[in-house]
Amino acid sequence: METLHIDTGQREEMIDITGLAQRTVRENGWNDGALLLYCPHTTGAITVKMGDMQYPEGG
Amino acid sequence: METLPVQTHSREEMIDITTAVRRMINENGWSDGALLLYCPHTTGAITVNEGADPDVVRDITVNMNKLVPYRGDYHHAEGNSDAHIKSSMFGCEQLVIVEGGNLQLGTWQKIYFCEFDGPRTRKVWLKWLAS
Repeated sequence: METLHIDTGQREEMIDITGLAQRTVRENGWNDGALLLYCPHTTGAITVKMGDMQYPEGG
Repeated sequence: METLPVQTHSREEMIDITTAVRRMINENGWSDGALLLYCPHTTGAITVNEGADPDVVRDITVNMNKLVPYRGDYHHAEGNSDAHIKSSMFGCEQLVIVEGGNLQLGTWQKIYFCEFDGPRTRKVWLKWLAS
């Protein structure tokens, strides 16, 4: 099990952790499989949604 | 696959099953991997939330009833559409981490079976996914 540390800056916020997750995958040499991302806090959550960058095809 | 029986006592209820899940992990010798907790019922769910203050569970239950009222614009003849909707909102499964035989939960986290149309005799299916 690996741990990512995240500092939030506001009461409500959605923080993009994709880069952190990608780095962790690379550093651990994880190649083929599934990765369980688990939030151990009772007032936080993990979600996947469209990023903020502009997609030419509308995301 | 293992089965955990759960007896509920009221129409809406969140039952802490953390101790029972820990016992299953110990009894089965599950050491390192993930444990899939699956609710095979369409008017129940499984969630992880705070267990230190029982008011949190009370607040979730009471406010879910405001979001999805018992009586409303429903067609389903059984009269429990609110329970079906809540079941889909919470989800029928949770995936938790087991490390060195220990269930990895945050300091305040507990695993709950959510009853939305009880009281009933329920069950949770557990599937061990070794890493």
